[in-house]
Amino acid sequence: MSEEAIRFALQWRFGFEAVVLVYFLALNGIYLFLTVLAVISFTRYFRRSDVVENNDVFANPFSPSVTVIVSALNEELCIEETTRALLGLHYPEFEVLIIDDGSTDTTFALLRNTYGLVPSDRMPLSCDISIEGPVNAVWVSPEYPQLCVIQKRNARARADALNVGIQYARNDLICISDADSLFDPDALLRVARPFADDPSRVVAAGGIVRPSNGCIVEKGTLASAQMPSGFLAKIQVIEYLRSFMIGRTGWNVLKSSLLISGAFGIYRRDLLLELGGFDSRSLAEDAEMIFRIHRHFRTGPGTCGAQEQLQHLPSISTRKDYRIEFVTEPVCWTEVPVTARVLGRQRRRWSRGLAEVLWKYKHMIGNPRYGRIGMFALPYYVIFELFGPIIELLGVITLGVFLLLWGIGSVLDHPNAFLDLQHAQLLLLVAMGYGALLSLAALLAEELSFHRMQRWRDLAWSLLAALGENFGYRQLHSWWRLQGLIQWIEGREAEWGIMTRVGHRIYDHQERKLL
Amino acid sequence: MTIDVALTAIMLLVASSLLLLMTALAVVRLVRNASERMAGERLRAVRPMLLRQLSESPPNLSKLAGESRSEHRQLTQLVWCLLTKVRGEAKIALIDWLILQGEVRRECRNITSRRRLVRVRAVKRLGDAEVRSVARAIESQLCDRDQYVRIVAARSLGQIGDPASVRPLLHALSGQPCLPHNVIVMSLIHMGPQIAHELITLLQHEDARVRSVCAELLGLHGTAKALQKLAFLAERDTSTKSRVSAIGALGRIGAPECLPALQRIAFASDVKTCRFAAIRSIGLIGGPHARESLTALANNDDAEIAKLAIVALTTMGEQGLDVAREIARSSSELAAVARDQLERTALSRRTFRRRTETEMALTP
Repeated sequence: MSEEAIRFALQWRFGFEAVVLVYFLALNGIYLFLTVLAVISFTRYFRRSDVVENNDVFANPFSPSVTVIVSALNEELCIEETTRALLGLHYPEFEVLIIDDGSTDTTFALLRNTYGLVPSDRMPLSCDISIEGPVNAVWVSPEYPQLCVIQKRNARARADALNVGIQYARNDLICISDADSLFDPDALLRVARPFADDPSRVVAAGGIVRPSNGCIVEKGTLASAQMPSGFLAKIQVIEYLRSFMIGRTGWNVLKSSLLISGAFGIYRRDLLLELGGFDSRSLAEDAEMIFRIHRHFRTGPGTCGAQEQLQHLPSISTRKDYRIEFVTEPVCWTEVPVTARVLGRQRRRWSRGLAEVLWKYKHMIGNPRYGRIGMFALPYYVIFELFGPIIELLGVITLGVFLLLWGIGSVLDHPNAFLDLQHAQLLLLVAMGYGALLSLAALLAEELSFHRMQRWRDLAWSLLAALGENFGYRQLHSWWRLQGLIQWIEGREAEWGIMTRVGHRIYDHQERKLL
Repeated sequence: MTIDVALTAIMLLVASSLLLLMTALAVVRLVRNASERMAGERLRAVRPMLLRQLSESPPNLSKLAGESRSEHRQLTQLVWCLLTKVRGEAKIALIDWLILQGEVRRECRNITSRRRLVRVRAVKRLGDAEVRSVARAIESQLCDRDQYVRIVAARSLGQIGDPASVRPLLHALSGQPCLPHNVIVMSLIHMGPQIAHELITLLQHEDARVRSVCAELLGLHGTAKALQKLAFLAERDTSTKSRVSAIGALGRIGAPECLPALQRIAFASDVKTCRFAAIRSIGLIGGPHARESLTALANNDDAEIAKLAIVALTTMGEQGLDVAREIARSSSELAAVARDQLERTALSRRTFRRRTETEMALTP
């Protein structure tokens, strides 16, 4: 091998190492920063929650009323428990709208039999939002007056079902959720609190969502949080903890929230009506709505409530004076996929949805008119979330190739020309160790704050999952995200697919055993 | 070489942090379990003692004290917690005990603490203890730089119930930093009808927001002696918000002598929101005259007015419901509105009945 070739290989190697190092340091620096912010936020929140009680919101007749909209498509395994949990929520004034989005299983029959549903003449309060799947029938329960079930034709979009709910909603706030989500009894009180405390500025709010797999449900509420049995589900428990307790909380401190989970989010009704409801063509309708809210308040009219007056919330008349709040308390427990096939489909959809939303709102990226959102949060999402899988997979592939070349170099007596094995090993260990460190930080935050998983066995499994996700899962996850990105570039038709439900582990109080 | 050293250092740092975090996790769990157990034991020791002495007639807490410092701390915390859950003599006994132990004086000092959490706690506890002498000090916290201190201060003033706090509370509506409307109104509702005189005086305040809240509260308290001033405000005020609040208050008070004023507004006002509010209030007052007016309004050319009139009819009771049923049976465009509204009324009646039944079942 000529000297020139070796010099070229060395230069190339150093260049690549520099790029990887810069990316690595930037990404982990941001994560560390977000972790610090999240810890500060948690500490403040918990000290305050000792003194400021949610009962104030409950006892106040001027607290904003809430309509909970649940879209259900073939959810026979969990619809009963979810509805029971919803009807048992602690909140002064709320109604539950279940939108049966063209289920072909026994979802509706279960609801009708359990709650004795009867046909209703209920009319939509607003018809300003366009709907693709028309409403077939409206049902109410004489026994549970706050329950209403709306049957509609499936339009292959969850957003369409939510839009039907918005049309029929009568209350000040709209809470969107899924049929596989279980709410904590105080969930509405906690998340509606920012609206009650700062009614003229808060326009949307969300809370921590955690996987419900493995948890025990009793009388529609989560009785005990436990680790699920499958390793994929265990890893997702850690993933959700990291994402919500570190990521979302940190971004919220920076006032740069770009996402409120579709599993649990509360919005002002007048704002949703003014924005025309959720985008039924979007795969990430929850993220798209938050982007739209930012655009509306930063560069659009910036007001809401001029046409539709809410009962207990004042209209917002000043541009830019708005807040999207993230409540650092677990409010919702949702079922996560347990098989690689379903999980892959879900992650491809998320990645595709992110690409789609970022493309749609590309004018916001790096735009100083959008403040921290445009200058900091969005560039982060583009570089580390959207292109993250490309760089991560490139790293894995390059490592493989370089290992091969290292073998060739060793034969040619120039083993370090293509790869410095010591460097590579160190970098790999640091990357994996850092990932585990973040997961452990999230676990520690959970332990210090909510302490929901009380068994030592669960703690041990959490630690194992935090360390184990680096070996195979992260690479597979990057591959799914990359596939989603490629699908979006190709413009292939989006597919929601069927989520295989396992259902909740229900504890029968009378029989004193798990069903 | 430099990269090697840096990477090794980072790796060591990450590895040690990992170990540290794992240890921290285990330690946190152990400490938490131990402290929860100890707190439980302490509580078990002091709670029966406190409850026994509280159940005496009259309650006598003068000899109440924990054996150790930690027990005494637990006892104090328990007393502060119980303060919001008991009434009458028991509450007075608890407050006296807290005063005797110097706890109230300590919280008074804490109101001006630099730490906001200490301030919030102090303001909340003093409110729970309903110590009237500290009302002025709490009023000063209505413009605290922390939002939660302000909110808790308003709530505490409501609990204390000193009529002299009405003006500072109302001033906080428009002050800088201001407090949310719902917090102020709730605090003033807590004060009860004893502040009615102050509120009637403030109906002439220069700030429309203050006039509006006062009108709203007079309605909520059902203050009949404010009828004349409210009727004047409803018809003549320069601010639409105040007018709407006054109209709503007239409806809540429910005096039939207000009907002529409300009818004038409902039929002839230039401001549509006032007309809407008047229709709702006529429905709340009820009676044959209200029914006649609303039936006429249900045939109004303006669809919004007609729709609201139907809604108001269903709030009147059986008399109004009969008219709404007739409209629902007719072939008019508003039949669907009437049907929907009738169903809503039936549902809310059922909810009310259910709630009453549950409450009765829970009442010993």
